[in-house]
Amino acid sequence: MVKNRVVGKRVARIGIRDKVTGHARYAADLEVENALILKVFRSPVAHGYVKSVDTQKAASLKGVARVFTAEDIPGENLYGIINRDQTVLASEKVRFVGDPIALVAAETEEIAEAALRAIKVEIAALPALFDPEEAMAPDAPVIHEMGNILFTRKIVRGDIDKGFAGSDLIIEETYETRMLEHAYIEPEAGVAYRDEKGCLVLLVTTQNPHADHAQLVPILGIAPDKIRVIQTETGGGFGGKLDISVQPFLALAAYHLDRPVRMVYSREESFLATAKRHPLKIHMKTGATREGKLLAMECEIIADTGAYGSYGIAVATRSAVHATGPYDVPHVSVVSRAVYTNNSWCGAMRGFGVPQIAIAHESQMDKLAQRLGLDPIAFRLENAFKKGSVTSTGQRLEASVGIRETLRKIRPHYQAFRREIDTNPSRRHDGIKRGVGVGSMWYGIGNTGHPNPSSAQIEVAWDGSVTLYTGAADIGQGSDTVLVQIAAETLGLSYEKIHLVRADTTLTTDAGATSASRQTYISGRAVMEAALEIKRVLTGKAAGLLNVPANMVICEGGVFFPQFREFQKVSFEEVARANLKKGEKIRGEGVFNPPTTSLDPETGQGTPYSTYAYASQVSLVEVDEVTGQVSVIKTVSAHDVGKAVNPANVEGQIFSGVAMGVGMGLFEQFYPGKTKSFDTYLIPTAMDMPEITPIIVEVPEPTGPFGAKGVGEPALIPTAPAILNAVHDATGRWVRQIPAALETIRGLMSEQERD
Amino acid sequence: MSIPYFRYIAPRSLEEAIDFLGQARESGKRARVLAGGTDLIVQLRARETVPDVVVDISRIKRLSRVERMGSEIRIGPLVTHADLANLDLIREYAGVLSEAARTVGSPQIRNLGTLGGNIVNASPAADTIPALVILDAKLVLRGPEGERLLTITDFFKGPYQTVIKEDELLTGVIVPLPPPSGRAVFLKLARRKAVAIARMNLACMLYYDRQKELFEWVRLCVGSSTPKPVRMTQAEKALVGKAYTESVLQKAGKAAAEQMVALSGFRSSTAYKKPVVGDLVIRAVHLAVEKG
Repeated sequence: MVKNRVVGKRVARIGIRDKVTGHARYAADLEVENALILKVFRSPVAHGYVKSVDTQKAASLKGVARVFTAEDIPGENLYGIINRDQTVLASEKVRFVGDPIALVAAETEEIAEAALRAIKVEIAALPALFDPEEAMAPDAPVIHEMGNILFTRKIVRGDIDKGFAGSDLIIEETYETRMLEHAYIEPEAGVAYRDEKGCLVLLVTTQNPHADHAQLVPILGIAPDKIRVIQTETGGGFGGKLDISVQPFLALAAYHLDRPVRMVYSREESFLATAKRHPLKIHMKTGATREGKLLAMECEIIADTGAYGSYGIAVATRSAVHATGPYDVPHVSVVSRAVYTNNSWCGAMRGFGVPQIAIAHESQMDKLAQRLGLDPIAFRLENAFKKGSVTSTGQRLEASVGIRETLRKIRPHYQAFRREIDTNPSRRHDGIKRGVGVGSMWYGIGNTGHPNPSSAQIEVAWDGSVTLYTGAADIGQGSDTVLVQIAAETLGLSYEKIHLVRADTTLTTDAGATSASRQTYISGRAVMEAALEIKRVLTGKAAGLLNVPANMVICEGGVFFPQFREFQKVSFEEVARANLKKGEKIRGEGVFNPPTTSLDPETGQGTPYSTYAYASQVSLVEVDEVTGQVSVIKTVSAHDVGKAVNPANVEGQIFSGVAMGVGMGLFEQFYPGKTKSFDTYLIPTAMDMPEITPIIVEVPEPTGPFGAKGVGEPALIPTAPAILNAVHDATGRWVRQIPAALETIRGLMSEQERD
Repeated sequence: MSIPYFRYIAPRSLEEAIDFLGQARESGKRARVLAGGTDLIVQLRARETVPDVVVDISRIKRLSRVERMGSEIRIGPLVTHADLANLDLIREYAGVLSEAARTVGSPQIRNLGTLGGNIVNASPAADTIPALVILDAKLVLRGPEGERLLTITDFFKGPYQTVIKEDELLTGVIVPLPPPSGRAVFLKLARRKAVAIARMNLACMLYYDRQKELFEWVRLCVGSSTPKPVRMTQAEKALVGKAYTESVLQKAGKAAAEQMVALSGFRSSTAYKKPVVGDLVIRAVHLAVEKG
């Protein structure tokens, strides 16, 4: 087997020099001559009918180009990434504090703000709902006409009653997670203008330019080739830039005005107006035998999707599918609902409900292990999936099941942390206890039970230069680098030789969203297919030059040569030049759509994903029993990624996932209508971070490029569960809701019972 | 979001600055003083304050001096938190103030934010204030009519409210050198370990006489727990003249908790703060005694 030259190497990231030196241009850095500034008037009321919108005074202010309302939308005033329920500018109803009502285009930011203050809106307030359980009541006020329950996902496997009847131990508990803000470093921003051919061009920060394009076309009611979306350098997304934000406003204003337009959200507007992580209420009941075999798991999930659906359906489904954790449970019953309220709307955020459900299944695992007197890692190993296991949706796992390997990798660290605690007892009066905890996870790569193809093209020009075209948006996670590595490896070229054109709806084809940890696996495979086609074509052409049959030609290291006669080699460039006239190109096309099936609406049975990532993590924490403060000291995180195309990138994802998990577990809580900025929304600082040891496990996935799967979201998922289990180890208290804030922990310490 | 428009003045002398403040007052204009800006800029951006004029005092050099004068240290109001954390003079004679300053915000905030700003902003969570209270600090205020001297505790009226007049500037902080026998501790409790507003902060200085086996004297102040900063006199009394025993400490902790509730009433945070303040007082006394 030929050793990989580029894949598996820590090559420098594409564009990294520009980013670290501050030269990279993000959307807000783009200077467009003569651009108008856009600002949105937003509803101060959580739920109500819009009676009137008076923009006359605002529009008459000097320096105001125009004020838009719903009436100015040429196409359909309706959008949504899964179900369409959101208006660009509200005309009838507002459903949360922050719903957009009018759009101002003005010469300066100050004038635009003055215009916002001059807009008069009359809203007849309706009773607002902030609790999803109240919203589910039959007599609750209706937020959307189709009812307040957006979606219900059911999963039934085996016979749940039989499962519990056979269980020697049953643990039942309710867990609650909070609404969270993505807190990407770059708030939403973009510019738009009409090019010389009359095409509307949007340059925006986004995770999915092709979906943005597909949503903007009906809003403007124009032909798809009359609008172009180009992704700018993007300062993080974490799912928050999958939904459109500034895009429809930029498009609407540029459509009507003969001027370029520009829109940049302030941090406050980004907090107020964009999607959040769904808070989940999870009731979970788990049964096991005395010997430690899981038998039954019953779960009810309520996800508050807020005012709009966004990815609510995906979150309800994904949390249900993953509710067993990476464990073989023969009898399963899950009901998961996404419910509308008048809270901030919730959408995609790193893990689509799995970080939330993992808190439940991992707490259950530790509770069971403790009551059964089993070591937490041994108990997990006893039940963890292996090749041939069947999931709760009835899917047989055929390959790349690395959960056991991740558990085995963290075990020595778990034992070392234990010894460290035992040999360092706390001082008499400092009130600080230490504990160690484990968290495991599994995560389906790609969209759940839906086709989600990617496509890519590679072109070889007459001079031998190679260009990769991908629609995949690199939002900082590193897909540019990984995709070029895959192309270079497949073609036997050096990494630096490949030019990249990315994420532009005119120049590239749809690669699907940068979400669901899917770009390395799905777009990577599409790139690989395109490269294989190029290789086939060029090998044929080289055969002609070398005067041997094509099946005798070897392509390696950027040269072609007849088998056993390397001295006759011809270079990649020579083959291209010999076969192409100036301006001609050879083009390779690759498409990959991972094989999945839709889930049965009643039983949830099906193949939601073609492959899964697995991880296990162990954390050492300190709990100050006086103040309730939890500090994460050390974390070891083992991830089965199939194949690390770029190990440095994989480790970067693990570091960032742990950081986000520390925030989710200990600090973060978004209060709709109250949390305005980082002043009160606390994310971890460098001082709050543990020492992190990443461990890469590679159990190859046969359908992935070079065996690769994904790690973007998995990196986050086991963190909070491991922390909460470590808090229990330290204090004897189970944390049932996150964040494990000062008050929560101190409150638990005051409780008498210890279990 | 843009900050509102205002007239900006950057005087180079104290006299000039006070003149500007006086003129603003006479003409009914709202003036705000800018030192490090770490509070003011945030308030401007949120439009919590919309001044007509901003007087930037950061160029008045004499306001950033630190000097020892006999039995006291005079600290200029423009001395930054980073200076307080690092200057040998402060670390040696007012170490607890150094420790408190070191917990403020982040390096960026400590490099900009000033002691004077921290005092005049009068946040109940200000980290330097409990340290200044147990150091018996005095403040020099200067206005058109001249100077006046106030004890630090007399300066505050309530959360974000002080007795400073619109045309007065804080021109100096006087810290008497504490008795060399004193052992001091500063504890900060916050939701995270940096860039965090104190949930509670505590400064404690005491002298425990190991021969006599009793607390000779104790000074204790807990921030973010009372409407205005005060000494926790009930807890101090519970300790002075008593031995270093668990039961004495428990009584002191209980006294601190009771004094806090008596002064603040029952608030939503009381369920958490009441038991924690007592335990923190106990922890602080332990740590101070352990210092020898």
